[in-house]
Amino acid sequence: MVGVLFLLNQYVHARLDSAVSDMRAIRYGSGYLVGILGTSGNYKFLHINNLGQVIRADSGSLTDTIRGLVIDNNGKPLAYGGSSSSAFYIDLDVDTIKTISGFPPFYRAVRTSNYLYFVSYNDMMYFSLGKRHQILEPRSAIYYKGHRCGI
Amino acid sequence: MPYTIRGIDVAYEDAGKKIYLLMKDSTSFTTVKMDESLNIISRRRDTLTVSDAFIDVQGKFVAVGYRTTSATGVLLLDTTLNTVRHFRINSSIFLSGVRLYRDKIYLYGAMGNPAIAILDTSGNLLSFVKDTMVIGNVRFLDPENGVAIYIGDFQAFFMKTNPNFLGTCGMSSAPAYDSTRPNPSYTTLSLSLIDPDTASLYTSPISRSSYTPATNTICFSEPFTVVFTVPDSGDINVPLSANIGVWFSRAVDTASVNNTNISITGWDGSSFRTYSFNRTCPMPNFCVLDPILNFRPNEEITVRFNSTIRDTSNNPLIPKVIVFRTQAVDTLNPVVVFTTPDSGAVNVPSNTKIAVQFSRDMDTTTVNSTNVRISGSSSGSHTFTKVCRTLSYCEINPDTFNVVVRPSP
Repeated sequence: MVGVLFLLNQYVHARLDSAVSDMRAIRYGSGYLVGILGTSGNYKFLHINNLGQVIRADSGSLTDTIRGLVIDNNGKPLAYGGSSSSAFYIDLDVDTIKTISGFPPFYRAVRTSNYLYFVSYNDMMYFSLGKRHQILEPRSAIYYKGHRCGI
Repeated sequence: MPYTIRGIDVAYEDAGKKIYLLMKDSTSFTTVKMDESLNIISRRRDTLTVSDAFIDVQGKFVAVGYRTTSATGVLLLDTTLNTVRHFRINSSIFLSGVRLYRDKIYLYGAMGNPAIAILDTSGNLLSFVKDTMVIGNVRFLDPENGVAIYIGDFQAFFMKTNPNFLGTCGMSSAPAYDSTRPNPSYTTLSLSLIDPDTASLYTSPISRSSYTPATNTICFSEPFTVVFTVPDSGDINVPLSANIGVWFSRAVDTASVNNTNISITGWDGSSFRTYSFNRTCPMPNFCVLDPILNFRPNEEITVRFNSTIRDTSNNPLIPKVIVFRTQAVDTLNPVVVFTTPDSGAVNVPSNTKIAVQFSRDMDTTTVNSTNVRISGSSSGSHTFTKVCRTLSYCEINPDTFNVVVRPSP
């Protein structure tokens, strides 16, 4: 037990990787999941522990832009993003990409107690939940779940 | 009139199960509170032109961090989206995000270098740090664990340090000041929520392969801490004339061991008293604090060691607070609280002075060769010279090596 406390009290400054163009990270288990866009355009995913030591490192190629990482309600890590004409998320455990064509990119994700929402926008705001999505429209009228109720 | 969204962020409050959405346009930003089914509970639109804006929620606060061309600001709201406070720091941080944790607001991103600003919910700037060695951007912050993950010079860095993100590795303090701002004007806008639609998802495989990242440990070290004190937290019956011995985890900048960076306060049940002290540091990592006034009987003494205490490399101390209680009545005989070196110490340098801390003020003339005898296992008895820096703290300087100190019968 003394040894564990000793490790928790360490200060660490470590380089995780080089040739990095952009990066996202989230808490994942007792460590962190780091998504890296390499300067050569490839993607890398690092699973690191709480002292910055790399547990697993994978790389791959992707034509679209990853905007973020999130843990879904089953504890699985997902990467999400999109281009001007499509949105996607990648299930990093099973290496599949799910794409919605003609949809703005997923810019953010929020995990609630029951759902995982991806959030997109163009001239409207979209919340996507699995195969369903809802639209929050910031206009000068109130529509409440399809019922006009004011102004 | 519709407006064009130019940025969004979203946060979730676990306890109340509410979603907080932030939408930024060219002249304002809009904050929306929703339940988990996306029913809108409240919303506000603040007329404030910002370049970046991010949101986080924890407890009773919602923090909107934003950047303008000249400053970085925080609009602090309550969970009904009413204004609590609005404040700024005079540095324009290109924000990557904002975090709320234990009533502190963490703004992180880039100001040339990776940068982190920490404020309390009153708007006081607690810390502003940058990694001045690289050009980059903090992309993730985990204040619960003191972890920052950032880009610098096209490299990815991991940094785990103290709660102020200062320590022996990486970040260093940078100057900045805070100011309170008038609350921005806001309106309650109208929003439409349109019924759910259905979109088709196309699933396809992707390929990944293992690779070896270019890792490199830059530094790995212990934080600078107070290891223990005498008396320590929880001690009772502490003599009224007691000094406080403090052992640091490594050599301390003795100038920083002062009445500004350490506070000693007492509460005897009816009034508070602040105790100033004189400081002696006989060893690089050991100091004695000698309060100028005696403590009062049955007094709860609180000693606060602040992060402004530095080691000899200018790294801040992990703050520590100890609390002990003095004796009810000062009737105890004096005792030797500790010596340095103590029994069992090995490899003691031959020129070491023996420091003796008594539990109370002494008649220092009785600290003499009659009452203190020094003998070596092979060299026999030794004479010594004595310097008592306070009435309860003396240094004994033996004349030769390999000494064993035995108490007088």
